[in-house]
This record gives sequence, C-alpha cells and structure tokens, in this order.
Amino acid sequence: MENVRTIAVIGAAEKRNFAVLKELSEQYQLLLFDKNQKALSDIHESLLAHNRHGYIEKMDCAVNASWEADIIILSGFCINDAVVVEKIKEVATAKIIIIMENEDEFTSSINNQLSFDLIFPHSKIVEIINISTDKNLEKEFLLEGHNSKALDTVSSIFEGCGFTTYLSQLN
Amino acid sequence: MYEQLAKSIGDKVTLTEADFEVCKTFFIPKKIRKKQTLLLEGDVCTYNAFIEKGILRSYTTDEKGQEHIMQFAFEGWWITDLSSFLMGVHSTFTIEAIEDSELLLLTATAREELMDALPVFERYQRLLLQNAYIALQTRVNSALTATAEEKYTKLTISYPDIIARVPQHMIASYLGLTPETLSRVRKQINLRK
Repeated sequence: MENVRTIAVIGAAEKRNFAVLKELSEQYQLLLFDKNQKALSDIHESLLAHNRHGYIEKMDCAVNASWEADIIILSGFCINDAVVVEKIKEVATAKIIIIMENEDEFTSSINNQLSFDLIFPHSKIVEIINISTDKNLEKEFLLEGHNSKALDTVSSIFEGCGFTTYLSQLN
Repeated sequence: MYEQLAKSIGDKVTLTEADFEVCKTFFIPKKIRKKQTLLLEGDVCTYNAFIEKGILRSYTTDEKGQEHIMQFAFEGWWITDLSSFLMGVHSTFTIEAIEDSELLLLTATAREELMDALPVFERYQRLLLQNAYIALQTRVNSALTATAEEKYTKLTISYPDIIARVPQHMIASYLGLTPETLSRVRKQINLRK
C-alpha cells in the first residue's frame, strides 16, 4: 500500500458520505473543502464530535487541500464542477483520485470514468459506488478503475475502516 | 510548481520541453507544513523528494532522545533516506519540514519508469549521486578534522541562507556541536569583525 496519511475531500458537505468520512477520520488526516461553507462547518463539527482527537481540518481552497493530500476524494457537487476539477488538476499528478458516487448516480459512472481519465490523464482514478442494499448504511462498495495498485490501495483503506469492497478492474 | 526541477535538470543535462512535460507526469506534487514529517524513522521510505520551495531536514534520534541532523535540503535539492528508498529497508532517519514546503515526490517505481522513458534522467540521477557522494566525503572529513569555528565558517560560506532560515540549535546539531559551543563560536567570529 502506498504511504497515505492525508486525504482531501472535495465536496465534503455531501451528507451521504458522512459514514465514510467518519471512519476515515479515525485513521487519516482529513482536509475538507466545500463551496457551501455553512454545510461544510456542520459536517466538520459533526466529525469532530465523533472523533475529538482526529486531525480534521476545514480548508478554504480546493487546490491547497488537494496539494497537501496523498489521496483526493471528489464527491457531491464537484464531480460535475468543471472549474473545481480543472483547478486541482495540476496538483493531482500521480495521485489517486477517488470519485465517490452513490447508486443513483451509477448509470453515469462509465461515462464519468472515461471523462475523468481524460481530465486527469496522469492521476489514478478509482470510482467508488455505494452498493449497500440498505440505503441508510454505507457498508459495501464497488471499486472501479484501470490501475490495479490504486484499486488495491483504496480497497485497503476502506477495508481497514470496516467496509466491504468489491474490485472491478477496467481494461 | 516545477521551476526548480527544470533548473536542476537543465543545469546537468539537456532535456527538451516535450521531454520535461513527460518528466513532470512522474512526480507527485505535495505541500507540507512546517514541522510536518515526510518520513518517520523506522518506516520504509517511499519517496525521493525534490524541494521546489522550503527547507527540510533529515535527522536521527539517539537513545537519550537527542536529535542528530544528517542533512538540510533547500530549494533545488533532493532529500530521502537512500538505503531505505532503494533497498526497501526501515529508515534510519526522520525527514521533517523546517518551513512550509512544496515538494515533488518520486517513488522508486516511478524513478525506474522515468529512467526507462527518458534515459537522460538516468544520467541526471548519476550526476546527482556522484555529487552527493563527494558532499558526504567532504562532510565526514570536516567532522573528523575541522575545528568548531572552521565547520561553522565553512557552512555559512557554502550556504549563506542557512543562518536566516534555520534555527541555531539545528545548525549546532548538524555540525555536531552543542548550542552553547556554537553560540561561543559565533561570538568569537563577531568580535573579530
């Protein structure tokens, strides 16, 4: 596994990912960014309430958050925000970028994978799709991507946080 | 973000712009904050780090908890725990930022792939290692034979920035002196000016 300590979460105010962020904050430093500062503050406070000693920081710039991070999670609004995506591109070279989707967004995932591979040609894209049957629980995830090492790294992170992952390596 | 790297490579070998664009894709851009560690003693060193901005230090800690600084690395320099990076063994050193720093990280795999893709990068790496070996010999020789004042004077001539940017106790550690001895040496030098 690659040496991962810091994870930037761009689009952190997406409430559906709270369970994932909560578990990640137990083991990793999280740098949170969202355009919606109020919602970001709420998520930040909730995470700190759960994990008082965690290193969880609100960031006011997506680029700086991504630049400091070993891994970048794109979630919520920013998946389709060309401006944010374009801004972080330069600092994402050779890093793993996790695209966090939920099942209702699954149909667009193949197109997303293709477009993200084009947008970030020098990054390692891993799409994570919540496939839990109980919509209120985020426990099972499908991981898709071209880079086997990146898939293994992300799988290790999620399995280490108590989630179940299924890998799908794309050709 | 890649200016120092372009200069460092360009000073040693010839690389076309197109080749440099390829070269950039192998590096991981990473910002670290003052006092943040890039490597912890005992971990396996995953990266060879090139410094675009800032200063890093590598140090080891003895049984008494005393830190011994092996290297400072400024803009345009590389820093790693070489044996750990190349051999995959546990590192002897901790690498930490003295200032907020901007780095370009190269993994061992990426380094090999880059040398395959651009053979001129292998020549660049060889020249770097050659210079590093010479610097190491010079440092060992100085540690064995030079007086405290000679060590300090030589350091300030070689790296004039170091006084302003690095705390005195770290300079003392690097030179193998106590902070008190370094303070005395500096006073003596200043009195003669």
